[in-house]
Amino acid sequence: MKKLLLPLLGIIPLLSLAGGFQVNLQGTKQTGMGHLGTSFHLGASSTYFNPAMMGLDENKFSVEAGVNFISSSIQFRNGNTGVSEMTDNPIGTPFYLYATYKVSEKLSAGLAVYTPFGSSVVWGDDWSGKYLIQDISLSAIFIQPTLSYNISDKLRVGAGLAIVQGQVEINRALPVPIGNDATANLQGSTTAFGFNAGIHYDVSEKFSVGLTHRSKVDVELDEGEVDFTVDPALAAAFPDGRFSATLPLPGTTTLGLAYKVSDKLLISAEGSLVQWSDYESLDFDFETNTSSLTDSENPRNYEDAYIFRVGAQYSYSEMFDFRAGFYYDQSPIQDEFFNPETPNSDNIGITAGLSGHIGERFGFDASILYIIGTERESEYAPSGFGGTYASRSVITGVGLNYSF
Amino acid sequence: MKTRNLLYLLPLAALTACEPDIDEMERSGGSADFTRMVAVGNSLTAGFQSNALSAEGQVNSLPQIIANQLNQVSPTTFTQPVIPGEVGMKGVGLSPLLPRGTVAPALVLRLAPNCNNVVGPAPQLGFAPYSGAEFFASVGANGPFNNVGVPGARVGNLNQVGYGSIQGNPYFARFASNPRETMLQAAMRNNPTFFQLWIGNNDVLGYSTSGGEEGGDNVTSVTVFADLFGAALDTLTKNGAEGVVANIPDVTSIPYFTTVPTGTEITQAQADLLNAAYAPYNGGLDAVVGQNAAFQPEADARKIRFAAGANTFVVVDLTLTDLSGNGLPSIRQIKSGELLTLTTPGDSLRCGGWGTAKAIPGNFHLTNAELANISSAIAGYNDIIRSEATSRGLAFVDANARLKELSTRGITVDGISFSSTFVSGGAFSLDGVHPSTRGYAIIANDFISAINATYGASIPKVNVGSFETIEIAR
Repeated sequence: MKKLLLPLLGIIPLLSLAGGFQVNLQGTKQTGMGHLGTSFHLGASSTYFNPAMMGLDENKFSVEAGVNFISSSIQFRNGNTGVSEMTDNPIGTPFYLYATYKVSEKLSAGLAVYTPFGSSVVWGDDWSGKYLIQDISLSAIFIQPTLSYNISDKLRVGAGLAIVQGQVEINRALPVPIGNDATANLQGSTTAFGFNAGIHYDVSEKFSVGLTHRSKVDVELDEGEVDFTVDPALAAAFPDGRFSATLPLPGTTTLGLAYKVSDKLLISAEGSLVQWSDYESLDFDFETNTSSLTDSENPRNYEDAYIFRVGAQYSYSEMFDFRAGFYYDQSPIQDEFFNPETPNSDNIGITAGLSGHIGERFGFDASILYIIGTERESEYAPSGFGGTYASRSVITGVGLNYSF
Repeated sequence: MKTRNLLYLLPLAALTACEPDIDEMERSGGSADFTRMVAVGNSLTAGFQSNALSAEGQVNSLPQIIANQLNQVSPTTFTQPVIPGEVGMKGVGLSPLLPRGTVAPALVLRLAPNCNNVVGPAPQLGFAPYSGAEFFASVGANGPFNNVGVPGARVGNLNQVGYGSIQGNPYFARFASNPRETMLQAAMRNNPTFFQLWIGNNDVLGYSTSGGEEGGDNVTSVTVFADLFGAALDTLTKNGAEGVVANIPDVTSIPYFTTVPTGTEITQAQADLLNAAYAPYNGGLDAVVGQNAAFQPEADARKIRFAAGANTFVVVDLTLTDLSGNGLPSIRQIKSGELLTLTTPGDSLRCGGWGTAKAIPGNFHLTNAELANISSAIAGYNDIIRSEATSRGLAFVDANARLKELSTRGITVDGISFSSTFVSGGAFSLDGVHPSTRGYAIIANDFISAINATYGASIPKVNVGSFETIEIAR
């Protein structure tokens, strides 16, 4: 399955949807209610949301898959010129696949494939910030074999190893003093590792609590390739070749609470701390340096950021569940380090979703998420480039699940 | 079934996402009236680049860039005496060394070998000097022009009758309405509501670029400058016009004076050869001291000594005591802080023994005394410019501070880093004196900032990165 999926996933354009370049769309059910899912079980997707809950599945085998369609635009009004420009981002289609298998009453095994980080921003070749970024495509596919263990009827733990396939491609105009159409293309891919661990506890029949930690993953590109397009006279000064760079995917700690108000209504709230402060700088270390091509240090100085979520699920009938949610996702970026490469302001997400059950085994899910990227006036001071940014995204998600 | 149909619609909904809608930036001219803007000045106002005035340079001239932005807050027409045809394309540089009627084209960057056969980008004339007949034809009847920038103009030329004649300044003669019109009269024919005045650079630049005293160009005295500058502002403001005024950058922070190294590294063997060659000169100086003990300090300063490692070059200095009667040339080694001009022939330094076996002529060299003359004149002019501007409530641009920033820390804007390094710094054109197109765009933004601050205006600035860089000519 891995072999089949990887090449397919590798070409999927993803989109920056949360603070930084985090993409929180790991389950259509959860997305429909504010992307909540740390403290209550909604099927095989618990492999991602809280691995401890895999054993809560009533079935021997559960599988769940889904895809999102992201339509997003970022607007920039140049602080100097007043001219507004808009991204032309491709439709992003991140998706997920989860499977869980109950080995015994206490032990469950699972596999998750998901894409919690990614970004695809296309500003264009000739926009006013072309020397910072023309377009970026960043994706990280996580493949996570997972185990969970029920310590008691109320307490359970789980953990998985995340094998991360990360890749990035960046195009930017090169600000050389000779020649107008100089560009740099940087791309690379690598494999890195992390983990996802959780604990889940039923305080009472109605009240449960979950805690997860998804570790930081350092995506170290040692074999990146840089391709310069410059005037032939400058070719020796800008040699094509290898570069190395490290992009940290930050760790996230989430505490969630769920309360069953009635048999039909479940409400939940969560808080996440995303440890973005690990993203201090994006440095490109070129294998061959020249007097024109020195290693490039680009401060990011992100700060840790919080995400707060609330949501509810209403079981309308045997056939249908309805969901709604809201979240506030804080930007990790300081005002003087706000770069159009990952231009994320504080985001407000409004969600709705539904699930349908067809027979005992089969179900489908749908969600819609509207994200307001709040208006923000910031600059990337190291490059002397700033203005006002705002974004809007509409993400529709569909999912299928099957259990037996 | 119904639900399934709805599901098909979900991806479609995503395609029609609402877009963000940031309000338009506020645009206003504040208390200033830009209806009729006139720019008065020298080559920096005319659009001079790479040793010549070309149509491309004029289209990207400082006042034209500013006028394009002013036009976004209120309708402003801005006309320039743009040079047409072949001369406009090749550019017009005037030199007393060329035959009458012949002009030099703009410098271009070409790949060329140096004397060591190392090929690299080097500034060269874009074409052979050529007949500038088309340039010399008067366009004065098409005036008045809003850009009264005249390459070479000093403060004293603003009100000089005859400067508009071919004997005065051919650049001005070309667009003056008659040969007796002065620059200020040409400006006032626009009945300006707003003006920009940037003048004074040439009052010290000619002296500087020609190597100081040896060049035969003089520095305008600060008191004369004060009178003339104040009188020019009196004229420009007499009908109530508002305006913007810029001060004079320290000419020694431009690549023309900072590019050519003032010394070189040599080996012990080379030092031994040179010291042997200069032994008769040093001995001759000692002989003069033998006759006149008071000459000892000058003899010490004049003696030429080379050692393995870094050494400064040998230059001609005509301010030294003339000892030609003793068969001794007026030469010495360059002192710390002194500068060589960009025009010092590079191949003569590299391969012709200039600076080591042969002394570099004084017209390529600025002595510390000459540099002191230059900086005290600039400081004097700048005091006057600032006080005249502020006392009249005009917008003021500290171009001197900006150029200092460029030559020390550098300027980063729109993701581009600029420095005052020749060619690779990006801010200067190929003559090492005048800004590049992007350099002019940076200054235009500074002018706009000053206008915005003084007149409570909101004039949008330009995106420096959208202006062209130098290209290699092939």
